[in-house]
Amino acid sequence: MAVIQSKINVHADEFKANSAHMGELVADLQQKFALISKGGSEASRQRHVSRGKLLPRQRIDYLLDAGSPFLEFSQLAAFDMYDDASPGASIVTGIGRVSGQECIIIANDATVKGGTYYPLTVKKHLRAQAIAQQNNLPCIYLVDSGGANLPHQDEIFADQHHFGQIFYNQATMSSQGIPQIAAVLGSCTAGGAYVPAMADESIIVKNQGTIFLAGPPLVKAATGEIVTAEALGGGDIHTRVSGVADHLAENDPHALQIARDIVANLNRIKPDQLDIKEPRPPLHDAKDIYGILPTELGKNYDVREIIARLVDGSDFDEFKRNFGPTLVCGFAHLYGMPVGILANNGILFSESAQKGAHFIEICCQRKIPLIFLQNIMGFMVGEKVETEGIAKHGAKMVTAVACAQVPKLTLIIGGSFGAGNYGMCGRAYQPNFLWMWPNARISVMGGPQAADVLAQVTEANLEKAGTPWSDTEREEFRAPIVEQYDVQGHPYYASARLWDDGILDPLQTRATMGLALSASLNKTIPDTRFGIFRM
Amino acid sequence: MKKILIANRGEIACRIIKTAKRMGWQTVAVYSSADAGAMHTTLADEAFLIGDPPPTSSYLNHQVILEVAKNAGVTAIHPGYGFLSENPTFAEKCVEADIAFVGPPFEAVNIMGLKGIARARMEAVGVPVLPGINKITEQTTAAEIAEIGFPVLIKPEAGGGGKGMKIVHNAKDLSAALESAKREALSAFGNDSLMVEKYLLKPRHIEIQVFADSFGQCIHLNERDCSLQRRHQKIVEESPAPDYSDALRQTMGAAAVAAAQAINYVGAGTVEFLLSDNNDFYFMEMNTRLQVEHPVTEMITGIDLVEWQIRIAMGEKLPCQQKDITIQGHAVEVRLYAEDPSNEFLPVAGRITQLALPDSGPHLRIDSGVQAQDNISVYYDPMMMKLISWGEDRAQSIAQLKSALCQLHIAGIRTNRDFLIRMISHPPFHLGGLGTDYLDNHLSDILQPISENEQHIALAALTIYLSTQARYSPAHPTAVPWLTETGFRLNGPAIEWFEIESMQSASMAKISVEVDNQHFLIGIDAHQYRCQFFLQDNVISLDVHQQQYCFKIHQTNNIFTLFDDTNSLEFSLPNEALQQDEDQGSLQAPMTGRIVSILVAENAQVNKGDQLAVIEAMKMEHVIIAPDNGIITKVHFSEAELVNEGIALFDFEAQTEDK
Repeated sequence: MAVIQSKINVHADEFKANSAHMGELVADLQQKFALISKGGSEASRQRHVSRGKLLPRQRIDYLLDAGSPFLEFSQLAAFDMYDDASPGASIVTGIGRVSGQECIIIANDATVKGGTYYPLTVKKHLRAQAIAQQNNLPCIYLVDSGGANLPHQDEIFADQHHFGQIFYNQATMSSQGIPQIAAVLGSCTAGGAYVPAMADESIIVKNQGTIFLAGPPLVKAATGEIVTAEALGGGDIHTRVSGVADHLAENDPHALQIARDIVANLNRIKPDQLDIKEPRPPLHDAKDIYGILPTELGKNYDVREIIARLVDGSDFDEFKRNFGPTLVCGFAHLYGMPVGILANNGILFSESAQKGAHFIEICCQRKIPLIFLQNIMGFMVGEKVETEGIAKHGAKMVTAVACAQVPKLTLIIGGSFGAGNYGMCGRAYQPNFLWMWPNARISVMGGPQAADVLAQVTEANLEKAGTPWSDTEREEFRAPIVEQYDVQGHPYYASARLWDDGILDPLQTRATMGLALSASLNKTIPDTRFGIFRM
Repeated sequence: MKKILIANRGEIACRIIKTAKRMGWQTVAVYSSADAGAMHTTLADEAFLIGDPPPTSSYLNHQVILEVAKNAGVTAIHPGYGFLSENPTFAEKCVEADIAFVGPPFEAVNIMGLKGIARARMEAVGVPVLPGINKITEQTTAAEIAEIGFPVLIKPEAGGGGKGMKIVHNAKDLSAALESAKREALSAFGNDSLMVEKYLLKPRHIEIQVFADSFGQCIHLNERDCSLQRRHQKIVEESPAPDYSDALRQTMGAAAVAAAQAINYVGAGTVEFLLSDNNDFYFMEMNTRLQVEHPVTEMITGIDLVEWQIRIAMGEKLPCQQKDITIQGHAVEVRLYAEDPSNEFLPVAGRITQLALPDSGPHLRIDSGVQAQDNISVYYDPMMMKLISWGEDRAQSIAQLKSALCQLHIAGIRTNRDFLIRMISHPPFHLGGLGTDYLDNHLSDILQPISENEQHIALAALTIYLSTQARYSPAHPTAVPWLTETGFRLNGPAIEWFEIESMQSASMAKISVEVDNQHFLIGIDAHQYRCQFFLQDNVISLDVHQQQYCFKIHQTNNIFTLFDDTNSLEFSLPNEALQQDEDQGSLQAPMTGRIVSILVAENAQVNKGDQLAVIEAMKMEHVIIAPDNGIITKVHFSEAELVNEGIALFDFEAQTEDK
């Protein structure tokens, strides 16, 4: 294989400045997550623990195999939303290994508003289920939630991607042989009661977990019957009388142990479908990525320098190196698993789009998972490219990306603008996972470009009206647009709304992608059938 | 072709089969259903099932064994030691059935089997005996016993091996000791008559191996020093005895020969003496069989005692004379038991999941009756094997033995291995000449608990091992990052924590792990260890704060055994078997064993400290005591039932007094 020769000068001032800048971004990210990971207020957590319950992240630690990684999703969900009342959208989701199996874990955080579902809680829950479905991963629900957050009911209940889809997903995943396991570790009220009821196997903690469609207050209001929570829907009733739950646990650790035992009995075998090589670390230090990434998005650098710091042995066999050079395509390995990489090295031209479509076809034919490294200002514009049919060439690439049935992992390492986002497997193209780096930006076009377009339209109108527009007025017009795009294109804004699965420190990127790729291989890669390519 | 049946099990059956085969004999093994597939059954040419696990149904069952012997057409029966080896009735039945009994004539067994008579016979021929009463009867008064002078030793007339022996230091304890000795004697030997004699302080146990043929010739094969005993149970045996003159060797050898001749002895026997610090010696007893510790004699004389036994049983003459018997070098033997030194050496039952033995050879002999995956049952003696080391001198043989023990890795079942290593490393042992009371008085010096730091280093090693290994299904090739990215957490430090129970200290340790470049930062409770490691297969080398450590790790279910040079440490991951708190208020069996007696009835009112039941596992009786004042609400077992460790014997409701 061909080892990428790095040409980076780690002593250059620019490298050092870049490095310091990225260091700050990563530090800020880690700081924000450290706060989020605590969950609810100190008092709320104390109250939770004083009842003999484990905190959601502790529950996950108990559930996982000793030493198992936990690949968390959507850590910044609901960030800077709902007056910051719902850290991480009051739910923890991710993939971890349980009894040797990669499983999706969805854990309510009862320390935040009783674990009730905000709109983004629903979205995060559904996203984790979507990952389970797409990658054929067993689901373990650690339930401790009061159900829907009533003040937000209009954004939670009625629509297709609202609360009801949780149970739709449970039913359909179960029908596809994707195990659904629920442990009721606290309340599980109203609609939430269907989580254990719809599960293949469910566990409930005695004198702690409760499952009922209506709690004691509602029952009293409706029928006048006075009943305790334990008698209405406690562990003993549900495991002995109603059969809503299957296993009675003494406490949280016991319940989680039972969940582990259930997973140990799933009789699932990960398919053997790839030619695996001996895993090797990259030759070059990932830390260099901090210094390689420019502080401004538009600045060019060779994306191979990034690839060299992500893949096994920095080995990269390039495809069509001299054709359409603004899209770098080639084969590499990640922890021994073969991957095909598409990485932007400038804007997309007709040739690069054709090359991309060709490369995706090859990978689908060979069942090689795809990695997209997105740093794309857009497709080339102008008379020349329009007349040569860049729209149909771009369409070929978009078709290939959309139809590709191999695992797709997308990482936005810089800009993600316009149709470039589509061609490079943005969220709408259902990559198995999508992450951003802290320096990345995502919007329909770049802020300055949007400001320019809008300014031009305004200026043209003003000109027609014969009103002059000074440079100062023009700048005053542009500035808030640039500002708005910068805020809304920021990874925190994107992550808060689940446009991605998380923001990655470049240093953790190789591990994250390796874990995710490994998890995605729980599903047998199907044959790809492409749509019509416009020739 | 001659055929021999070995009416025994375990290491001794295996050992006898080897010699018999070398002599060209066909071998026949017998086994109880608990020993199906055991080593002795596979070594023998034929093997026959003779009954259920309890010895009375199998290895002690004369009728069945003799039937098998007749049907198989055997020439001789070798009883080994224990079981039927000193049973004159069985010896007599063999003779009646025209089968050679590889042992002395039953008359001799009879005399020596009843220690009172034996004493009298010894006194008659001038072999010195300890003052005592040969047979305790209803008429024997406490005053008569007191006259011997306390301390005194009560022992059953029949049997040996420490069963039913009691030391009594004052008149007050006498009746309780007699009661208990009687009970143990009855259950072990079917005979509850007792004798009593003066108990010497700091005596040495010196025994002389004798051999006699049926032509009146009798010689001795030197002495064995078996002074290292724990509660009369021999642990280390050696020959020649340290600090022992040639003159004494001749005198005591002659006395032993005289003792054997006084009862017209034939075959292999051992005359046991107590040797006082001023070199006075007293006859204790004669064991009319092959001894457990016979290999040390074989190692220094070059004689195969089993071969001699068989030849003499077949009517041959002794192959040599006293002057031909020499001493070459020094031999030491230790006995490896399935027992728990940290729990008062209680015998343990269970499965051997791993067994790695040191290389044996001319300088190291391993007499073993077990192999990996064998189940050590509650029915029989918990001795699994013996290691015998031969050296040019005592120091060399001890050093070799220690090295061999350190290489002996056994997991799945607790053993006294670590204790043996500590014992033979104990400086006073190197000086030699210790008394039989030494071990009981200095046990705590030898049984030093493993230090907290040692525990922690082992825990750190285990943690790294766990963190880097797939603990469950064999690793799928695509699972690599899930196994190598230990404790990965997105946007936070890699961290994990879990709890491990240290089985030596019965305490839980809370472990955290952080991976920092090439180092593991292991937090154990409040301590931090920064480790680098090298792991290959299940051997982990660890560098902790500039110190090197190495452990071999073995896993049995959720229990991990870590072997370093001299220790085997056990840890368990608790989440596998979650303890439920429902057992509060019940009294559990402290070990797997047989219920000797239930001393309370259901609904009985008991006071704190009352005896509730007696459990026996092989050689020890253990009393269950009421933890508090209260009521026994349920009795789950009755006498003679077998119970497993940890099972509830009673339901108990404590009563708190009103204040």
